[in-house]
Amino acid sequence: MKLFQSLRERLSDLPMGPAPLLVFGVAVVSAGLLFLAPAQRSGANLVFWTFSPDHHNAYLRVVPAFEEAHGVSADVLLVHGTAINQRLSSAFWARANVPDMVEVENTQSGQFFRGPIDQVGFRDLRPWLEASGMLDRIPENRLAPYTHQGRIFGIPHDVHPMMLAYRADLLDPLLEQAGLTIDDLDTWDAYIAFARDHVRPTGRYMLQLEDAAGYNFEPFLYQAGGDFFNADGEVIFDSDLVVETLMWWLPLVAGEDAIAVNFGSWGAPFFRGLEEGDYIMVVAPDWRTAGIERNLPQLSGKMRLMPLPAFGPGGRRTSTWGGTMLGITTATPDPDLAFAFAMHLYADLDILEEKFQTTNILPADRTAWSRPAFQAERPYWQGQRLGAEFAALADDIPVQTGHPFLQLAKDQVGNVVAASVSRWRRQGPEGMEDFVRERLHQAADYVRLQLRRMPDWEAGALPAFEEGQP
Amino acid sequence: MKKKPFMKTPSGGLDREAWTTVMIWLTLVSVAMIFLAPIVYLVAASVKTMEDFHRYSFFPPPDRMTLSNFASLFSQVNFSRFLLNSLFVTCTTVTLQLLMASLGGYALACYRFRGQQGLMLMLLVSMMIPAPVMLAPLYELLFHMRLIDTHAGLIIPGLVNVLGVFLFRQAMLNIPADLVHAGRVDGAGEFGIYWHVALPVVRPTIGAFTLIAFMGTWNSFLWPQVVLQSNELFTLPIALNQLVGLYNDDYGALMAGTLLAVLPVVLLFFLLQKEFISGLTEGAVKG
Repeated sequence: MKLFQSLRERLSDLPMGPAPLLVFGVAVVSAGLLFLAPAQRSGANLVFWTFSPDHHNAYLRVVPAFEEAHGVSADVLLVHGTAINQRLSSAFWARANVPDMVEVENTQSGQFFRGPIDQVGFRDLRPWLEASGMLDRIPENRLAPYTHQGRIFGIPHDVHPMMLAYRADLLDPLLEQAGLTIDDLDTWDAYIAFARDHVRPTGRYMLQLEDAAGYNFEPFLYQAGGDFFNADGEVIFDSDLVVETLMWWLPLVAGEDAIAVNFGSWGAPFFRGLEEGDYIMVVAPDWRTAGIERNLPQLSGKMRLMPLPAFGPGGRRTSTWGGTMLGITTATPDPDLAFAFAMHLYADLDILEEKFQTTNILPADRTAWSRPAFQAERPYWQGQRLGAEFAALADDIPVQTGHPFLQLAKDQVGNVVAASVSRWRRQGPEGMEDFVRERLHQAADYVRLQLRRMPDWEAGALPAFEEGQP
Repeated sequence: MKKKPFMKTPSGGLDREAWTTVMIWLTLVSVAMIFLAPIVYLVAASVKTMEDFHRYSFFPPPDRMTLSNFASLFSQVNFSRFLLNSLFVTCTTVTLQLLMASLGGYALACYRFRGQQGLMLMLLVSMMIPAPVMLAPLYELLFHMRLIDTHAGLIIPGLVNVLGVFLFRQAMLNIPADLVHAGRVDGAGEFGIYWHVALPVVRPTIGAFTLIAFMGTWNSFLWPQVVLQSNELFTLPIALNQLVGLYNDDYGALMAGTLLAVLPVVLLFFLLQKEFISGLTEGAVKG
């Protein structure tokens, strides 16, 4: 402390005060240190940006094998997700410093498909996917988010089938009391009735759902067969189906009979609520199960997974949330080499297996699903075979139509969801359907207005993706 | 000055003035606790294991505290390199900004030339352009200058801080013209007058601006995130942000890193607090 005082007094005696000298001194010293240890520069043939540390670590381990096999150098750079979007936008606009390949999250990918189709910064990968046979190995609906005007701009990294993760130690006794098994909760009607009759009286909630945004409504919308855009690229999120689905969803989170509670979808309240049993279940795409394992190791052996209940007997038992694509940019001088590298990363079964063990993410290449790691029993989930459980649902995931304005549409629907929940809580269900319908119409009209500003836009002129026709 | 002791009423209670003091202190302490809570949370979070992270709101029991987050910060990510990068970029930028801003402020305050008012107006208007609007053109410019993925790409665009020019101009307007003339009469050159006459007079402004510029550059996130690509060039905010994963966050290391990252700013503040406060309050009580 005395040293600090003395330093302060000595510096204060300087004619211009201590600030400039101190800062200048640190600048000189740090410059000297950086001069002695300069940063290594990359002169790689291929530059690949990814935003996930888990992907990055897995890729780094297998890059040398590719480099050796092809006699080239490849540089895999970890760039934060937000930075990828900003940097890629800047690079595409300026046509400068564009990487050869890049991974983009599916909520962000659509923005890069804007504008005249021949000016999109990503290559149409259909010819390579067809020639390599990869097209047949990917669940067909998984290509939808990355397909625009019939062109496939991204190879899906994952499938992200959705299940429900639940506290078996809390739910099983309640099921037993009710004389039921988890298999009896195979429709949403049965699930909701059980939650209201047997779970809510205990003071716990059945489910955790975010009610101030749209992203926990979207999976239910997709499961019900709804979407934001149709195959022609037209806005359809104000259709009767969307209104009906939202009217079904709202009483899950609002009103006296609510069975779901909002603890936020990430962070301390979310995990603490699950640990303390404030709620029993969470919607769980494959990626979220790894987060639960890592943040709540103390729940090992207490958790299980079940498929989503269906909207009707024999209906779809899954949905999807999130996704990542790998795109090859038009800037790459050697697209064949870039595609070969993409296949090395996305179709190498050892890599896919290793990544699954750390992320629980089901890869898009179905040939990997029979590998041992995907069939392994997982103690955390009471011995369930996590990979096999998700793989069984993979071909049934709904279509998420990709679109340049998808994020805008999702934001608009999110606003309607939040406003509707708020109104239901204040005024009850009276007049709710008219309110929802009107708000969705307004939101959809806003997106249509923005859509007309897009070059080349004509209603019905943008075939996006048709189920069954990859 | 000797402090006045609390007065007691004949019945032994505190008098009105004493109660007022107590209430003021209680209010100040409450407000201070609100402001300090995030810092305490940060410290607590940096010594918790992942298992305890969500279990305890603040500190876990002493036997469960750990320094492993700090260890993993240095073993898993190149923290010392990022710290060095941040120090270099920040201190170089601040040094150059100080020079540029004080020279600009001196010219605008002590010289009379055609277009002076227009120039000042243009500088102030430029402050109103949101930074994200300039991202793409600036990126293209830097690309053609071959400055993408370099520290120079961070330093050069930030050389002139308009707020600094404005602060120095305002402070230097108070320098009496006679003092400048006296310098000339004594044979000092124009730079000599700036260096030996003007700068010592605006010493509080130098301290205040150093701290403002240091904090702004040290915490800068958007532009470095766009410009820097090589891991070894990352500054601390970018490097810490890499710990935020898509599927999982390493909260402990993130909090430990954030704690270490705020220390230089805190240290600088304590070193410069006298200058900083007098710089900000300069002219506030002028009659």
